[in-house]
Amino acid sequence: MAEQILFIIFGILAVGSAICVIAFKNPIHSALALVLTFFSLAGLFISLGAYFVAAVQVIVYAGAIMVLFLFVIMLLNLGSLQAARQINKAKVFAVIVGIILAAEAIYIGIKVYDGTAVSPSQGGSEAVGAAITTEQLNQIATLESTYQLDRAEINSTYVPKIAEQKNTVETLTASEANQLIEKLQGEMGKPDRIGTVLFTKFLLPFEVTSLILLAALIGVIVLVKREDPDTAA
Amino acid sequence: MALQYYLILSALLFTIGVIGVLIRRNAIIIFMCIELMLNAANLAFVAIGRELGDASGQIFVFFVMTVAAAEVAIGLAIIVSVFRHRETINIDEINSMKG
Repeated sequence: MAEQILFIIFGILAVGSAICVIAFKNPIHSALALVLTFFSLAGLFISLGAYFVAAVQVIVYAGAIMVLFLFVIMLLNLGSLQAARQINKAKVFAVIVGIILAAEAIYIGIKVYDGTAVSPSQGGSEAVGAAITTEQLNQIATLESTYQLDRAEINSTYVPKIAEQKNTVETLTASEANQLIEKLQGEMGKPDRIGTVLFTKFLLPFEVTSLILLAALIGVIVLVKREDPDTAA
Repeated sequence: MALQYYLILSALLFTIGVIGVLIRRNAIIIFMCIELMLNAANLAFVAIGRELGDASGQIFVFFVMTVAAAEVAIGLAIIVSVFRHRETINIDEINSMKG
């Protein structure tokens, strides 16, 4: 229920402020509307259980990137520039393309849910009290290897929370196993789980992104450096 | 909340970004619209990642954010240096590479 309320509030806010970004004439107003969009997207991430991503969204996007935007707008004094506004063929073309694109993307969104492209992990209709299935055991094993969890840790901390007086995964019933899988999946938004995956499975991409940042850093310095008349020759 | 609602919202935000790129002539606004599109993709990543029970969706959001930060820094540097030479950032007037 709480997720629905969060989704509706932040969804409307996100779309509304995104429209404001492209509708406002003054770039500073657009930038401030974009900050609101980033905040509402952070709210949507929270409603999805991705708490750490939500925090990073606020810090990196709403903080660092938007400060950069506002800094450049004010540095260039663009607020006073009145661009000639023309309603031309390009604008009509843009609206047509936008409508087609939106229809297509929404169609795909509905199709993914209908079809088999994404299948939720719910086991379906087992009899009540049926024993844990091999499929569920495999799923738990996958989660263990992804998050570097120990079977002993699961047995001692997670299993007793779901079913009292049980302390091994194998003794759970199928419906309890579903609860356990859901609980383990729910943990993935937490910083320690994110960190575990980031520094094991995605270690190489993580290191490569540092090179991207270094390249960007050098590139920016080279781009905006003023030619010094003494050393240019 | 079902996955499809998040995907539809993500599609809407992406489309708004595309329309913004097409109708606005101010280079900085076009940059903001690109950020909007990247954020729409991030939302889809996180929503699908949760549906599949996989943390990789959230990891990819970090990589997208890193690339976006680098891209914004470079792009704004280009805008600043273009403005120094041309005194404008209207993309209709910056057309010397048109050929």
